[in-house]
Amino acid sequence: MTINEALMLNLLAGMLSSFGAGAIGALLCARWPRAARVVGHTFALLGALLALGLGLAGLAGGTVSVSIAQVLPIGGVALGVDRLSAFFILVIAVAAVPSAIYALGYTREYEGRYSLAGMGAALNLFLASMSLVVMARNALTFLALWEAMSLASYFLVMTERDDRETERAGWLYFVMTHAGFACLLVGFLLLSHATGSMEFAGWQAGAAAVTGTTRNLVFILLAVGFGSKAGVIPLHIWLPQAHPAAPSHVSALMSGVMIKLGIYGLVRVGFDWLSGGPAWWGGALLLVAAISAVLGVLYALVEHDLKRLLAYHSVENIGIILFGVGGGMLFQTYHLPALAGLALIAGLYHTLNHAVFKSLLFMGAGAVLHATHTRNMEEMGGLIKRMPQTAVFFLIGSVAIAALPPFNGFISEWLTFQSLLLSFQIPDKAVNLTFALSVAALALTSGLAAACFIKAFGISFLALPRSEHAESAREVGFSMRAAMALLAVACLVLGVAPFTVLKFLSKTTSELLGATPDMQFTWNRIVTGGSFATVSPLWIAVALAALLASIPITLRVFRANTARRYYETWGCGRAVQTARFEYTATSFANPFKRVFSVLYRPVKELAIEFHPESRFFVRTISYSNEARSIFDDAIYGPLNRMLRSFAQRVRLLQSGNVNVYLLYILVALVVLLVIAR
Amino acid sequence: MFVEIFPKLVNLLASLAVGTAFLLIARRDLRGQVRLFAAQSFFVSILAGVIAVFARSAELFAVALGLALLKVFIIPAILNRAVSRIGLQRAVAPYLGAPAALFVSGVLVALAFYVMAPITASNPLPTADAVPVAFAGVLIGAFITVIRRRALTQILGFLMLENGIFLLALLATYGVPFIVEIGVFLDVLVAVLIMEVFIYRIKENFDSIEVGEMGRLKG
Repeated sequence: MTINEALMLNLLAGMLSSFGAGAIGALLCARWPRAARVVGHTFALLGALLALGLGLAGLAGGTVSVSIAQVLPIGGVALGVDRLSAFFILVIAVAAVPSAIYALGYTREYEGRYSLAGMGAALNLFLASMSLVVMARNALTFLALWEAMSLASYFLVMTERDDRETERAGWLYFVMTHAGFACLLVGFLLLSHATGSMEFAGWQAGAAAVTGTTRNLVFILLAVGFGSKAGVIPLHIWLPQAHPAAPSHVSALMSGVMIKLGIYGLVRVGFDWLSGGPAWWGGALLLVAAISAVLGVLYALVEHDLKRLLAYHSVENIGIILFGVGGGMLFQTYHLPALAGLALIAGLYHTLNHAVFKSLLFMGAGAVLHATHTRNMEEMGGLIKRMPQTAVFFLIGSVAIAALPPFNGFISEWLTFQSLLLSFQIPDKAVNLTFALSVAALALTSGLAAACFIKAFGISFLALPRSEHAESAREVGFSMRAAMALLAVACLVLGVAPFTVLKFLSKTTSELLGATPDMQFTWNRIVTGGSFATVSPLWIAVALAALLASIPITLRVFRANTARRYYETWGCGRAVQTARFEYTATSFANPFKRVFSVLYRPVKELAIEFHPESRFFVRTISYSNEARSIFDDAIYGPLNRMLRSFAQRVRLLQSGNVNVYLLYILVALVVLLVIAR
Repeated sequence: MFVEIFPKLVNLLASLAVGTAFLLIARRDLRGQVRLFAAQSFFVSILAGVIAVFARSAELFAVALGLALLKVFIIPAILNRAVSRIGLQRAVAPYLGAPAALFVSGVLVALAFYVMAPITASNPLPTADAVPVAFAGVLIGAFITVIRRRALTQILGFLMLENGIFLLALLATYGVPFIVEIGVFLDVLVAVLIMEVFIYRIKENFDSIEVGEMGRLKG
């Protein structure tokens, strides 16, 4: 099927005008919060739907290029869509459509408390700049849109700005994102200088001539810049702060989509702009991937704030995606483009999958937050009875992120495993070892992720309510449930029928690498590496369904007593059962804390106050077991102190006296004039 | 005859203009300071008129008239109103006493001649000899803003600096294009109006217009 350019142009124009109308409309309705909420989010939904169309049309082979010279200096605004851009537009839209639906209901309780006009405008701007940044075709357009995206998301994070924690989170996000931006800026300028072009096409053409230190420096700068947006360890510190602070649909977008644009940048750098590099580039990415994946999930395990736990899982999943991207870069170095294609497909597929299930999970967490007004898992419990539909959706998301069939996480992690295992074709022992360690790290991560979501789901939704908030929770409104249902269905479809996406993805990587990936697939099976491995997602799903169905059938066949009986759970012989006897999130995490104590460096505190008469009567026991971040202690702490002491010294210049400042100006003028003469 | 005395006339008027800046440093009462500014503006506009006649430029003549109207009458009137509204007649002692300040100003004049020497040498216009004098006016104006404690007297320094810049442009190139000049006039007028209102508000709110108080804002 051929897509003509006029259709693409119409979709693009429609998308932009929807987002524009949403932003302006929300601001115009500033005095009527309800109108601002409806207008802002409806137009956001419309824009997201058009973006979805644009992404699909682009994946089907449609191209478009727009350039407006007058708006920006040095090359003007240049936009274009190739398959990689189209794929990321699709990823953005897949999360943006349900987010906009969800936000319609979720932001209802913000009415009268926070500015819905500002929020609607920022959301539309955020979605528009994200969709446009992947279409940018020259350096300045990219940087301007990248910055617009960062600023819009900053304002969204700062929605609940009267909260001290939000203020801190916003500040941290602002600093980290601009540090990353500085790296990108320097990297872009270096590359432009070396290739003599500000156009991405020019970079691609001239990249071969860029060699030695410049080439490595460009890669390092761009990798750090994009890595800080993606949230790889050790640049991840803003994620667990900013994601919980933002409204939940924004967390879903930031975690599901925005951090993926860091991946987009890395793919562009590695496979398009610089098109290949020395083996250590891919090796370094694999190392970062392994660290991010394992540490991300380990930090998530000991986290009891539901949204922060999800944020750490984003760090983990970025690691899993990077296994694919880094592996692909290594295969490319060793001239195995077919395998590079396979690895890249695995990474990109996981990008899409993570966008789907992480959005779902954040929306689930948002629904719980909406109903219980707490993010602390220790105060939840028993929600499956009170919010059964949300519970089902959250469970589907949990199973998907834990990479269990028949959901989507399974397929992409399976592909990642396969591509890493096929590394035996590389004739270099050191590289083989790197891949072997990556496989081990990925395996450990998968197991720990499953454990973590047993905790997340079990502690939050099962057992008795642990607080009055949980006790009085009610199921959330229709729009929120509809959004979650959409995503839950997407999890299943992407897990059962991966051929739908693989078809597009193999064309995308072929376009990028110039070789078809080492993979065959039909509607019911995927074969990688010739006949190295095969999987039939559909039959797995059918088998699982059959297994599940066999339980009631067997019971019926053997005429077991199927009448419902109501009993108490086993209560250790106690007469009454309260929520205080339940297993807590802390106790669930404690074995992990002990095993990995090197990493967590837990600070244990146990304070017991006895009755003054007898030590056999205890008045209070307080126990705390906080994990400390080695990154704060080893990297950011010293960095912060250095910066502070430097700032203290500079402050001597800042006397606060206007006359002194005027004197500076006069002296500077006179000195410069004398020197210039 | 006019061609012969023209450079001397230009030098005389420019020196008179800068001379008023010296007087401003020594003078303490506020109304007197405003009068000195008006006097400087008067000299500058006469100079502009003389050059306009010499260069046969109607535009420049219009600029000279505009300058006279704005800086000899309107702005001094606004400043006088500000003086009476804040109810102060005498300026507080500046950071630097008059003798020391006059000495530094002298040094600045020498510096201006040193810095501008190449420009004087390479400029073919008959007015080029007075360029360093005008630049000295700029430096002294800036210096006045540095040593003065109160916002109102700092504004006088700023206005003298602005006069110096105008003078510099006038002497070095017979003035910048008409439209730019008009723009600058409007800027200065608006700046003075705003500052007048601000000074009054600051006085109302903080009971003082001493800029040293702003040091307390520092964290």
